Amino acid sequence: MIRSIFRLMWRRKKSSFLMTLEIFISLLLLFALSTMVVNNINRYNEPLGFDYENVWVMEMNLRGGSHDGAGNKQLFDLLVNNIKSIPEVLEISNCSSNFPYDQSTRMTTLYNEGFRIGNADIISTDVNYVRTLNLRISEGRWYNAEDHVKNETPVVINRKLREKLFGNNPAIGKVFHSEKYVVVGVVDHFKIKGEFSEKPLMIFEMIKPERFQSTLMIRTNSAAGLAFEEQLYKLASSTAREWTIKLGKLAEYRSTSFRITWVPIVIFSSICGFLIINIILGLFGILLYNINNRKHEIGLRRSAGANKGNIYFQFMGEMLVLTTMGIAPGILIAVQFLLLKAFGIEPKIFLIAIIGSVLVIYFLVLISSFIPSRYASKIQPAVALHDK
Amino acid sequence: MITLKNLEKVYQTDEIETVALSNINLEIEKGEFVSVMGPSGCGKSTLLNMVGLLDVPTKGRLTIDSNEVEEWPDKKLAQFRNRKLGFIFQSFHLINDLPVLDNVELPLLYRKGISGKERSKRALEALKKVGLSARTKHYPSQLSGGQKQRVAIARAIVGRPDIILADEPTGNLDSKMGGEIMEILQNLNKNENTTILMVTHDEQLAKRTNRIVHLFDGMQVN
Ligand SMILES: Nc1ncnc2c1ncn2[C@@H]1O[C@H](COP(=O)(O)OP(=O)(O)OP(=O)(O)O)[C@@H](O)[C@H]1O
Ligand SMILES: [Mg+2]
Repeated sequence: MIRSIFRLMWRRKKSSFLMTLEIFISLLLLFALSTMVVNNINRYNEPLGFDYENVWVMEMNLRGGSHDGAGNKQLFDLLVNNIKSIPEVLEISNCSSNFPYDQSTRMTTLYNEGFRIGNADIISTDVNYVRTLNLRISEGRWYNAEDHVKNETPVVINRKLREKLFGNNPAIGKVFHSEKYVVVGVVDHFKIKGEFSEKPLMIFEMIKPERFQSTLMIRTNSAAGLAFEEQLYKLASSTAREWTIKLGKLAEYRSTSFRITWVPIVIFSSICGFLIINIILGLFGILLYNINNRKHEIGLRRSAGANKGNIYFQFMGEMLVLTTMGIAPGILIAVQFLLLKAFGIEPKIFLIAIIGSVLVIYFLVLISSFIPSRYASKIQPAVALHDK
Repeated sequence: MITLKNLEKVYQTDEIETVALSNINLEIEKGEFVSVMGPSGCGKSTLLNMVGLLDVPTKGRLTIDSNEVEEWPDKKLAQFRNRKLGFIFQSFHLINDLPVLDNVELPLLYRKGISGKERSKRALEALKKVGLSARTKHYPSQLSGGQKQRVAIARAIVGRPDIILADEPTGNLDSKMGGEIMEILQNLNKNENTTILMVTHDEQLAKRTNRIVHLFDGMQVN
């Protein structure tokens, strides 16, 4: 039975080419979409590595002033002390402008014994950063004020970088990047670009004591709201009159980064959804048209001993065979992505996406073939043979 | 073996009621070769469809081998058609996308427990009987009208049915080819004792059968 359906569909491959092509394209679209979605879900499920709630971000634009000019540094220290005196403030930390979720990036290319190991995100922070964002240290410690006497800059790195640089060997006290950095601690996780980003190679370097950077991260208690924001802003602008102050909540930067991730996916899935609905309706229509053109064949099969169920499965079977013919080359292409580990995405994710989109296609085809096939099975054999 | 008693068939389409058959009483014995004649629209095909269990009578009784078929569910009817009946149509009704051998195998597909090998073997035998064993891989479009009808006959006999229902099997063929087809049917009737009910417009062919049933406007005339 199945073999005869295969043979029939193979003979009809020219006339059903368009349908096969539609299924092929739907599969590729669904595969792309589900890869994106599964990849994002997978990334989301990996720990973020810091707390974003009740954290405020203050960006200070010195309007051309220097970050190590003595006057500015004094003003900065005064500002920090003033902010600390607000009762809602629990922790405050200075860091470079590439704070989590922000679009700005600072990177350096790292080599290990001459081999390029990748681009690492570098963020300059002070000693309070670990407490302000609640980073979890898994080896060593965060840098402290005593560390600055060393020649090398003390850094904390994340586990991914630690493994690339030192493998299973001890990391604490080791130097890297042409002996510029010395490792004092390791954090397991820190996804600087947010939940949906790939795990970065991460370096936290200590800001030299005589310098400061353009951003303050301020952790407050949960009582801090609009009034606090107002107070903080006024305090900052009255302390550093020459500077431009920009204030925001880390949670808001997070929302923005979510939008940047999901808006294209939502648009893409709407387009996919629209195309796929069209394809389903198309298949429905084409199948119905085919059935009406093949009434004689239906009558003939009934006369030869096919019951209603046989006719139903004939058409369902043909659609499944057709779908398989469209899906097979699609799977071949999709598997190439898996084998090549394209876009640095894990093979596991491609595999889930392939299986998922294949199942969805079969499901949709079954849905669109169900009604026409039932209709075919209900055609009276005498009528089917009689029709001109 | 086939008995029709007061059989009536009325087609109801929209407002129009067509009486296709009325008060048909007919008995066909095993091994008989009966032809049905009558003008176009008189109900010949309808009669064949009733006997072929492809349609149900509006009134009256139909028994085959003393089976009351009226109450049978779809599956049982299909099985009966598959095992006992063979159909031949005026317009051949071959599936154009399948080669000759697959077309002939068709009834066996709906029979359980026959391997693919066995199917091809039986199909080949049937094709031999109609003298077409050299064309198994051809497609219907590559055959002449007479050859197509011979394929259709092979398909009708591949399941070794007791009864063959032929609706104008020579209607689309010239008289020489029609004669050949008639010969095949007569041989089946003679050698295998197959009961045949054949619709024809051809007086000469009808005369070669055991008995002629004349229909006019849905009624039997003698
Ligand atoms: N499925 C149907 N629905 C409605 N009317 C039908 C149907 N089948 C047949 N009829 C009508 O029943 C009557 C008998 O039709 P039938 O096909 O049996 O004639 P026929 O003797 O085979 O004619 P022909 O020699 O032209 O094949 C005709 O009036 C026809 O229009
Ligand atoms: Mg007719």
